Amino acid sequence: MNSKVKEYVSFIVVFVVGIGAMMSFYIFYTKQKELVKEQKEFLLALDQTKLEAIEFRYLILQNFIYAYNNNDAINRKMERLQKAYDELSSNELLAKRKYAPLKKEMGLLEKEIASLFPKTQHYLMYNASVKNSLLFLTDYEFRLLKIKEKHLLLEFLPKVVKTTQSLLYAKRLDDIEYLSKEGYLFRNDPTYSKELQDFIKTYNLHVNYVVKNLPVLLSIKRELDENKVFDTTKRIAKKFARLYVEDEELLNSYAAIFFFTFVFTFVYLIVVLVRYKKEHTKLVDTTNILRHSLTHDLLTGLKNRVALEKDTMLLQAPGIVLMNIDRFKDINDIFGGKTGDRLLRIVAKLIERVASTQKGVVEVYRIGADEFVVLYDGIDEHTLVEYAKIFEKQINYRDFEDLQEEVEISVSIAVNYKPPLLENADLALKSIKRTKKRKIIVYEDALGLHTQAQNNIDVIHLVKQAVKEDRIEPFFQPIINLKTMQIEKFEALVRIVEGDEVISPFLFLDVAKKTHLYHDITQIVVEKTFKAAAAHPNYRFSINLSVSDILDEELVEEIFDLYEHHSIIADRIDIELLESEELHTMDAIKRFIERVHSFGSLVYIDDFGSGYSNFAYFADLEIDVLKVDGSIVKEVAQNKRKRHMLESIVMFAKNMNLKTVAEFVENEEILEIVKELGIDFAQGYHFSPPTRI
Amino acid sequence: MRLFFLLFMCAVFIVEAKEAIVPIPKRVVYDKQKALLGKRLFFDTSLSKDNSVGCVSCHNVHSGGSDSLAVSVGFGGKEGDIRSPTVLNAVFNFRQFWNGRAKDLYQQAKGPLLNPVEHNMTPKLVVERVKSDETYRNSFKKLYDDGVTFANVIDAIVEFEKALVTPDSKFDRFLRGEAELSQKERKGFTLFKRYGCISCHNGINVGGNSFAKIGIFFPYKNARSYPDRYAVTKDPIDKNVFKVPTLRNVALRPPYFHDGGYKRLIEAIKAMAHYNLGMEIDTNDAEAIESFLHTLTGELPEILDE
Repeated sequence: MNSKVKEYVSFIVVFVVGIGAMMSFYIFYTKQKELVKEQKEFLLALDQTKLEAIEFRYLILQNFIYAYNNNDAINRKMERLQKAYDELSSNELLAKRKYAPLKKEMGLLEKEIASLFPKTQHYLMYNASVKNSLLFLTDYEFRLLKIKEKHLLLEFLPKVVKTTQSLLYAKRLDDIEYLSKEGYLFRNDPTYSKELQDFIKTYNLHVNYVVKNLPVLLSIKRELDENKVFDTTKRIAKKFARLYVEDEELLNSYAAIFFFTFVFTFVYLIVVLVRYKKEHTKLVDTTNILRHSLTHDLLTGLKNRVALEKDTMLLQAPGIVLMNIDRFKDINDIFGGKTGDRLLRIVAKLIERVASTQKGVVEVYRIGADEFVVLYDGIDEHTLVEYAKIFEKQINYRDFEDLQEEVEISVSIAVNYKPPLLENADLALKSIKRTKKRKIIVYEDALGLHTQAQNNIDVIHLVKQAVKEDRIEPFFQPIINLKTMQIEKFEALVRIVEGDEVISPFLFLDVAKKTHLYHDITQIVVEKTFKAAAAHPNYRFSINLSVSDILDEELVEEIFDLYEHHSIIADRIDIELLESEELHTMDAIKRFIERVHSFGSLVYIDDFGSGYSNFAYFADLEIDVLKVDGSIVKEVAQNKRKRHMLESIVMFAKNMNLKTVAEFVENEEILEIVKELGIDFAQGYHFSPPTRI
Repeated sequence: MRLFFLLFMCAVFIVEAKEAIVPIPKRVVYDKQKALLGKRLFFDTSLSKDNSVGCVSCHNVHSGGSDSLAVSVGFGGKEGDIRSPTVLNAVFNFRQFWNGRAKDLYQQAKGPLLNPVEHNMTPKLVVERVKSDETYRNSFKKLYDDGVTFANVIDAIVEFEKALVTPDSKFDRFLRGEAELSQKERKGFTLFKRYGCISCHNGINVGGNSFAKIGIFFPYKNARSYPDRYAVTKDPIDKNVFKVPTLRNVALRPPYFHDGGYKRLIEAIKAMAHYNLGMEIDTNDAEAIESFLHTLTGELPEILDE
């Protein structure tokens, strides 16, 4: 499952859990409210029932004691009790299964309450008549005083009073023991006066009635007194409390579930929030880095070309110093990209450090692989050139201690005010790169660099056409053996022939070198030289190759194909390598030289002494012939130092067992000197310009 | 000395409570519109099968609330099985009918309507009869959501009965301190209490709030069998037991007792003393009690004037 799906799933889970929490809270809340309400109502109704039962008992007691009483109160109380019970039994809690155990008690209570009515009615009935009889008897005692038989008074009165009293006691004290033992009745006698006979009759009637019915009354009263309504309500209350606590426990677990789901959701939300905050920060960082990288160079941390263009637009009087590390590509190739990167960082730091000491510096930029720009505002040209010189001094041939390798670099610098700043500076820089004579250039419109750029395009077109129409031709310049003064070999020099006109390589080769056409040119020259060599079997021929030619593997294979296919002439085709610093470090050069030697051909070093002449590489490379640069030869007649240079070169060559060739021998005077110095061969206009042969 | 002490002690045991009889309130609460509708129904003979009797036939609300027959005559001239009880102040009775078989007026009112020897109706017939009258239809429509139904007919009649109370009797005014009883009446009231009548005849209705056996000391000579309390409870104790009737307006509605056995009030008083109090009271006392009972006659219900 991918993380996005996971995230959605967990979101849904939390959503569901959250909803669940809310729902359980809702359920908890409503259930709790409902339960509490029902519980309160139940307890209230129960209390009411209990209260009515107590008051009912009180009313019965009152009725028992008072001579006369209002029965309405008792009836009303029974109605109230019934109503309280109805209220209680209609409580919704009782409908729940949980409270089913209360049903038995509730049934009992209902029956008890229902039984109160008939019992009460009987009680009232008996109580009324017993009470009436007792009332009558207490009143009736006084009648005895009116009888004629006064002698019987003492016999009758105490018995009547005592009987009445014991009957009253029996009722009042609720104890029939007072009735049992004695004979209460009087025997009636026909001899008695009518009054006495009537008295005895009525007296006996009532005493009899009370004696007979008081026990019934008392037992009914006891039954009423012992009614279980009160006890049952107490039992229900107790049982209810227990059940209710259990019910509440259920609620508590609801609350617990609610609480935990709430905590879970809460914690999860915090986690999500934190994670999102983190990711958001990451996103913001990335955005910042991207935004930064849009205007900044990642390697050096300097601003880039985009930033330069933006910044320039904001300035009133912008000026730039454009610096390009010479042959940086070679450094990368030689020391590897890592060293190259490190170097770039060091150079960037160096430029920044130097710039920080200068006035008007807006910013330092890295605008290309090996190009740096320092942008200034309001600094005059003269100062800017001074600043450029400081940069050159600080960077060129500096020993970069931080690098493991020993690398020496140089920069070419262009200073420019004229918009478009960068393009113009670039053109100016390219122009000095080509000539290699200067290190600092100030862009001027007068330099005609734009024209030159247009020229380049024209030249490329020219070369293209020449290749297409087979107008690339090697011209050959004879090389004279100075001992025999005979032509011994020819150097092949490329030309473009356009009708009668012959175009010198000076006009097209530099431009062509930047294109694939250069490969074609070299190939044509090599092929045609082989043809010439075949046609002139008495002479050796030499072909100029640059380091870049030798690094062009395709070209190299084509060359050696020719060697192999023309084995008879192969040992007469020599290779002239242009003197260059790049020469001595390259295995490819070494291998190439070996392969040339394998065909019995010779290898020349061309233009020796023109640039960074270094004798060291003669140790590594199997060079056969040393061709001294024309700039030395040309001036040997006038310039003593050049003559000394030539002398020492020749001495070195002799010691190294190298043959020497002097080019640009343009007159007799030079010829004499080179002869005198013991140079082996010479070429130049004194003998012949390059021609068709 | 000892003797008098004993006598005194006996007297002390007789404790008097606060007044056991309470006056009827001057105003009672009822729904007047419904009560007026009920009044019309009460007087309407179309509520009997043969259109011969209305409620009022046996319950003359203008005089005592019952009729003057020992046994009422109902449907087709058939006789009932017991003296018709008064409808006046019936609302205060704790149970209805002589044997208390109806809990309230709602239960009671159905009885005579459906009794074959009284109105001899069925609920369906009652509704039909009432519905056939446009005034009834409109009134019921106005007062009841569900219009004419048997329950609503009963409800209207009961509402009328609630209004049938007789306030402002002389005795009630005496209780409220608004009137004086004559000496005789006063004596009668005292005897009423002293002889124990009040043990059963108490409360707002001076009775109607308990059951009692007729013939406690001597068996009551019933002319025939009557539906007593025993008919309801099947408890032997309840044989010959009836609801103690109200004594309000008692002077207005002879003959007396469940069987209408006594035409004169004074005879009824003496009979009660004999059967239920086990004493023979002399005419003086009986007359005093009678004059007290006359003070229980109240004003006719206001609603009868409407």
